[in-house]
Amino acid sequence: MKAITMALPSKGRIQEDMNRFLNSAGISIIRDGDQRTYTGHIKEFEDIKIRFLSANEIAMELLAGNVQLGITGLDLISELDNKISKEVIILSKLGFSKADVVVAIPNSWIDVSSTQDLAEVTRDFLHIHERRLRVATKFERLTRNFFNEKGINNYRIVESTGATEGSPSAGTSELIVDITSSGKTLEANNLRVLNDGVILKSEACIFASKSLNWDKFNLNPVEKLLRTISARSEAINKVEMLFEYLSYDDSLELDLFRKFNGIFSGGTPNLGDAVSLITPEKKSSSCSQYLTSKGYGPIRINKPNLIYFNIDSAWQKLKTEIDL
Amino acid sequence: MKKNVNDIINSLGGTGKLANLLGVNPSAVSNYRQKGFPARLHLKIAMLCEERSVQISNDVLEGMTVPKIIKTNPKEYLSGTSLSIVKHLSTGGFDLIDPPVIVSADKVLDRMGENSADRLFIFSDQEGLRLCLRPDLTIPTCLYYLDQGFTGEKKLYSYFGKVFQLRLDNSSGPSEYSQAGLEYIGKQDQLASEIEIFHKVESSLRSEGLKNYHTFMGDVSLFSIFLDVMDLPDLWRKRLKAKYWNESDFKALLEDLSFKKSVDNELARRVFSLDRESATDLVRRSLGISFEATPIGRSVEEIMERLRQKGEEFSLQPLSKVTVNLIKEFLSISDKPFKALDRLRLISKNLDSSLLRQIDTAKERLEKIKELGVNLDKSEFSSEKGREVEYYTGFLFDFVNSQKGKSIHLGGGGRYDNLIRSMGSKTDIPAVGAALNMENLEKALSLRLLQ
Repeated sequence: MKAITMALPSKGRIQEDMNRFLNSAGISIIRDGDQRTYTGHIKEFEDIKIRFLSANEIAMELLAGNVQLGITGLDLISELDNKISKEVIILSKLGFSKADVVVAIPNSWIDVSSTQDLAEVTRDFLHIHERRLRVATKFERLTRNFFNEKGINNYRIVESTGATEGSPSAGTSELIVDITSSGKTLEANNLRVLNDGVILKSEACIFASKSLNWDKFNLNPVEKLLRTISARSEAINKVEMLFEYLSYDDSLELDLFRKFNGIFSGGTPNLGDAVSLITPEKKSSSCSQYLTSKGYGPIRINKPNLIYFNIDSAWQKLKTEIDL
Repeated sequence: MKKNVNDIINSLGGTGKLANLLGVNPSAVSNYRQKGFPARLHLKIAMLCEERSVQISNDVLEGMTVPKIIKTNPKEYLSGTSLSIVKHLSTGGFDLIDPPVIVSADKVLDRMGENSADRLFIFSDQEGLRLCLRPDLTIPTCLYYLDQGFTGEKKLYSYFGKVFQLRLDNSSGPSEYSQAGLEYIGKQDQLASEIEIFHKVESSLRSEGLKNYHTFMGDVSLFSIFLDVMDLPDLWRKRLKAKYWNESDFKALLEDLSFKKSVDNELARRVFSLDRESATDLVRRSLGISFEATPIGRSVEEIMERLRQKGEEFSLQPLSKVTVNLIKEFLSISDKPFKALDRLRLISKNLDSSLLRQIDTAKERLEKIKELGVNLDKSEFSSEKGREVEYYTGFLFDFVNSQKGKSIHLGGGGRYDNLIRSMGSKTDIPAVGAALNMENLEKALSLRLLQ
């Protein structure tokens, strides 16, 4: 039985975010030798080997089947993996390094707000300038698929691997497709996202490669690792609200779910139970207001570190995909 | 027989033209007049002379003649069906050429649009120039025409060779196959050149003994002229023409135009209410830029014009039900060719005579096709044929063989008058061409033998 290899980002913001994520999950990554090596292991799961690569290399190595598992950005996998072949599967979204791949145009194009507008402008542009509008991007495939879907064909892609946001003001393109988390760089470069210009909502995910013989590998530690990672990703950006269920309300459970994506971790409560409600962090204040208005309280809010569900969807997904 | 450098330069079009052909400064060509051609240009000059049938004496280019490999024509390597098809196509003045297999990816994408990049084999050379394997033979043939320095002269070409298109789903055929075809480029009688191309391809099928095929015809200029003569606001006309190439978008647009719009863009409304100069000022002020400054990528005037259009949209009356229905009816006609044209004429009888003339031209074309002996019972004319890809500008046709319930696309072609301009020509150069898919043709022929 061979040991599984998992690729992890070796630099950048995604690495910092990931270290924080794994630490909170109680997973310690140890580099072999000193800090400059590119291999390592996990203290808690010794049968899993680690390779440290750039986020982009991880996407390529997953696609080639050179590593079995990997943590990288959804944007990079979507750009590389052919829609039809799907060599790489998402096991779980991890909730960090969130960013959007977007179409951004110069602020001064006040006549353009949607992709529909852009389609018209690309056509006019071709007639006026006798050349096609240029889109600077490193996401060539995502751009083509999205533009194709929106009926835009009168454009040309200009490959750009760095400082894409500066391209329009430098005169090397008219608009861009790029990844942005806060939008501040776009703003600083006088660019604006089209109303319907979000191509992909990306975040860090754990992926598995389909293009290899999984049965040669020792999968025992994988189930445990995935459960721990899922438990952390379930807990990230979530809060637990604790209160006592003192007055009966048979629509409460459904309302909490509909309005706040809230779920009772212990199932439907009985009168007098101390209940635990899990909701997204950003809904915690409106949810607690709702609960107090219904007469419940006091409400204590905790930040859980890990939430284990009895069935782990990441592991289930891997099992189905590799036919175990 | 041209004996000296001056004679050769003059017969190749003079200093300026030759400078253009060679990609050098005119002053360099004046220099050659004095000192003779430098050795590195001998081959190029020899090729230019041969292409234009300018006879030169041996000593001017120090004995340089065009090497055999460049003159070699593909015919020498062919056998069987391919050879007889190519022989058939390359008679009657259609020079058999061997255009480059590797072409500039940018030129191809300029023509085909960025979305086709997924289907091309693109790679870079050492200098970072993006190249690709030719996806068809029409584009390299037109590039060959331009490379020769022609700007509208009549040229007839035939070709044979492999083309390369990546299949995305691995199921719909191979990524490389052979094409044999024709291009009629430059000065031409529109109808005569179309008939000639159609006839050559159609008769080559028949000469192979293939009779069991259907001909599907169309003419995209008919709908374009139909929209021109309809009583429509220019803006609607422009948008309908733009969306024509995407059936579902077109349907959605027709629907959209049948409803009155409410103003949702105050700036657009104001821009439309002003004269162009004041409107430009207003846009400038809204952008907060000075008189000299230009916004990124597009001029203030461009932005103003488009805002005007948006503003105008809200002032326009929606399309009437009658108009919408007429457009739908016009596009729905698909029938035996003569019957289809008669039906189009009937629908159009109250419209401008320019449309009727165009329908009559299509009918005249059909008469000539009938005279060639084409079985029109196995033919169909559709008013919306050709709208899947924005490519043809007029007459177009396809030959489809059906045997044992299987349809095999044998080939087709048509008119594309804006093709060469989109590849770098300063002016529109008329062009009509057609190609046969040789693998499919062989398949159809062998299926026929099995029966």
